[in-house]
Amino acid sequence: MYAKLALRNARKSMKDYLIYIVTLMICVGLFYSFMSISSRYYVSSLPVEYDLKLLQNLMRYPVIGITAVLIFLVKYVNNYILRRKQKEFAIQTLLGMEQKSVAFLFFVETLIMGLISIVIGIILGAFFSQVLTSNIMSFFEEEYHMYFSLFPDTVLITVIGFCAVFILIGFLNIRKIRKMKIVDMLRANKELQDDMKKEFLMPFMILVMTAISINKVMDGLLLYKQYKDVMILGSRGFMDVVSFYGNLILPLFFAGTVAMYLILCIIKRKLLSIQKLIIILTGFTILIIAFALMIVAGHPLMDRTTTNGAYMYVMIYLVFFMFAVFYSLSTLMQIFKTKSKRWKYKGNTLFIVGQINARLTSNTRTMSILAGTILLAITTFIVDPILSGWAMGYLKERAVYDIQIATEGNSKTTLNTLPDGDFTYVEETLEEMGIVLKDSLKVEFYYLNDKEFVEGSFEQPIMAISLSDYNHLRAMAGSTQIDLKENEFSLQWHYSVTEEEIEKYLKENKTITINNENLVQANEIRHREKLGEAIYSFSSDTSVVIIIPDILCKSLLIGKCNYYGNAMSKMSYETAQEINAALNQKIEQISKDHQYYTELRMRTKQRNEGISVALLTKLLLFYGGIVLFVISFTVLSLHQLADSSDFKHRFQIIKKMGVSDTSINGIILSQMGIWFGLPILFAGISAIITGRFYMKWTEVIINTLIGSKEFYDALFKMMMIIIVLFVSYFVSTWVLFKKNIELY
Amino acid sequence: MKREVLKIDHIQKYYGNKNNITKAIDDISFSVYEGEFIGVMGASGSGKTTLLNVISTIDTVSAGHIYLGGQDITEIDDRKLAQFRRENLGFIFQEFNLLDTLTLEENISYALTINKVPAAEIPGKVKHIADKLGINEILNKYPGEVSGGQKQRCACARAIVNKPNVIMADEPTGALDSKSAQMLMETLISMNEELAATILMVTHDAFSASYAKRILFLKDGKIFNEIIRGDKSRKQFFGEILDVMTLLGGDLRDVR
Repeated sequence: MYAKLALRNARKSMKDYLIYIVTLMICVGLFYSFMSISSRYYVSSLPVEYDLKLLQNLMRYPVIGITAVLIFLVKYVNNYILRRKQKEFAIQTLLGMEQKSVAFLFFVETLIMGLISIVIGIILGAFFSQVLTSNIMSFFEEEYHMYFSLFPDTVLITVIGFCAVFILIGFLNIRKIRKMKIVDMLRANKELQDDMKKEFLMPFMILVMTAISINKVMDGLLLYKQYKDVMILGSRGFMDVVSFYGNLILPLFFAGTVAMYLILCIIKRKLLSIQKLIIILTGFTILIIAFALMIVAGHPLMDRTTTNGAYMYVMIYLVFFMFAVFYSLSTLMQIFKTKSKRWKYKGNTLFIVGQINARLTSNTRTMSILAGTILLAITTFIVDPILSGWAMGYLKERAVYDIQIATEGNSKTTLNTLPDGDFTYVEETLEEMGIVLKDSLKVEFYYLNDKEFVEGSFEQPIMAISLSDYNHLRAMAGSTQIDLKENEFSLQWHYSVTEEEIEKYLKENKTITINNENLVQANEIRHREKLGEAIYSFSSDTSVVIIIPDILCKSLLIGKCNYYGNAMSKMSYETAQEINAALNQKIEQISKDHQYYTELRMRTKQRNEGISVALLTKLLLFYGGIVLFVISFTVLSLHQLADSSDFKHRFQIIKKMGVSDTSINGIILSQMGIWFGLPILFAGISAIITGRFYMKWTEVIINTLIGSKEFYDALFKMMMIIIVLFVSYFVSTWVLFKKNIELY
Repeated sequence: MKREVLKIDHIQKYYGNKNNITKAIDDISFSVYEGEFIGVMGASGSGKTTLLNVISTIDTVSAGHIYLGGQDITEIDDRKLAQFRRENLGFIFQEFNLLDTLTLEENISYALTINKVPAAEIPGKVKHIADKLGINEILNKYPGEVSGGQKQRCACARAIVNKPNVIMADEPTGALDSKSAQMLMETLISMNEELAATILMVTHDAFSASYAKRILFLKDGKIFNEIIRGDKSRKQFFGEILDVMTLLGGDLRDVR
């Protein structure tokens, strides 16, 4: 009988449950799709030289970890449903049903809904998994055709995991319902906004920020001492003075205001309201952020520590700002209402402000946390293309040859134990393994003169390579040849060397002298071919190699010797692993006798590991970001839907008073726009500030490894995902809201 | 002769389908003149709420016409109804229906703002009405912070502040204790006499009805009787109402 009742209940209250099902579906779908990548059955049509095991192993636990955050959301939505159904519970109890049975009935109901959403979620997840796979394949530069399939192990873990969550939450609910009083259940819908609870978070934050402000004043004093003389003479004199004093005085005001408040409290012998204090502090915070940003923007004379330090302050004050702004907002609206008669009495402002204010006063903390969550989510989406692009670009820079071995002197190396360039063991091993080489090359690198070799030194000087070796390397990497006149030298630069550094080097080294022969700079001196990292010394200040005519090399001392090889056919991942192990074993034996570094790099292994790491970063950051967005948007949307009975009542009143339907639609739209818009606006502004900094910080990487066009394309894609997510949440909330308050 | 503000002309309202018709209003006609305070009484199901709804343009009639300020409201375009309502009608409800998110002052001024009254005039108008109804002291409080009687007086202020043609009061004392109810009825009287408001009040409470100047009794969707107070004292009038109610078959429970 009860089972029948539960089923019928579930069917009848489908509308109430819609938001529950949709949220769960998204959670299940996301979990399934990301989890499916680490499934045993995950077959991707990858060619032999790739192997996904590494990625699969690394993915599993972080995905489960991130999903754990979603439990919070399931609980939240569950509470919302619970509140909506309390009146029903009351009636059931009044009719004579035991509270135990009522609770059990609700448990069965939610479980049915949960199971439905698991089923739909898994189907959704299977589709989404295919989209992910095609993305993964594009990382490996392979084509992929989507198809539909379910992986038993992933299905099992999804079902077990989510059922466990439902049952856990279900039991908590049963306990809660059994303890409820009928009177409270009946009143649940009419619950007015609870009075501002005693707030401890904000006073605590204010005290912490005061301490930080005092610290900032100290830093400001140090900064002032450090740069005073140089800066004031500079061309930007006036702005610098403003910036310095601003950074010094504003935090002082911040701390001072708090001190004044405390003194006033002591004099009056009671705790004064912190509302106005928060408004003042919010104002100071904005100014402090602006002035700290002036330091972050930098001055040619400032060093990294100073700008980074200022950036830390920006971040801390931004977090405080996000909390303070929501706290002060309702007070500000109150002030606005009393001060501005003109706006207040215009159209429906009065009503909208009332609506927002009523919700804001009881939800300040949630709103701040939501804004923070959205900021975190947007930041994740900005960092994602930077990190994964970095990993991929770096891979292209490194994995150029099938085999690269570099040998180089270290602090133990003596003149007699310098690298000897004996790579016969490599060819022997390869032959044993049945690998046929298409092309191979032994490259020697020379000290510019004998004196540059210093025994026992940790650092290596910049070395030279002969033109013919250099050209051969280029040919192996698929590039064109370069020319060099007899009295010229050229340079091959590492990707991370900035244009300024190159300029500086070129200015200091107009000519170089080798064996009394003067060489001048060639016309083309900024070669940045991707030739692997082994050509640069492991331990030198500037990653650059000097290219000199062959004839000059004969008498030079060899300081570094590399081996490069390209195989006839592509190596499978397993073979590469075997060769790698065999070669490393031999290298270990040899290094016992020879005191220099030997480094082995295999393309297949590099690519596998590099792509796996890039993918891992990309997928996990993406998953994390999406989860955060889903959480914050769902909570925002529930905020609007939760009190629809209150809302309905209010809209009925104003409709009777003669507000037209079009106006009501306008009110709904602007009310929801503000509610969704505020946290997103604050998070967005903060994200722009922080994002700008990340980009500035990784400028070199974006420009050289990722390519700025590719980066902005990827960023644009991410932003589009955010917008699509936001719009779909907004529209569905809007539709549901209008359904909920349907008048008459 | 005073101006005719509201004219009900042979209206009917049916509910249900072909086989089972309920006549909520069965051919009712009457007129309300400017400055009148008219009560409509009747037991549950007599059609008084339906009557109020059709006059309020919240519901439509099945047949007949309603003229408000000379305009036939059964013929008004749906899109203009809201505007018509806010320009011609004021409402007082049993459940007060104040907006809980706004202070009393804001509740009253909101009625003015949706009527597009210039911002500069609003504070003055609100103060004037609040003075008249004695709620000046509590204007900055929220509905949740004042008593039922004060809430209902604020609702009265909101209803009259736009100077509507007719104020529709639907069981205004229904949710009040007897002391507050008496105070509210006196407020309505003063609105009627000092501010010249035309009031149409629906009630099933004989005590409240005794404050009106004319009472229509409804039974099964028809006008059953009509009595006029004239120069009688309120006590006499009250007795008269009770007599009609007994005739009406109204249960004594309805009489309080």
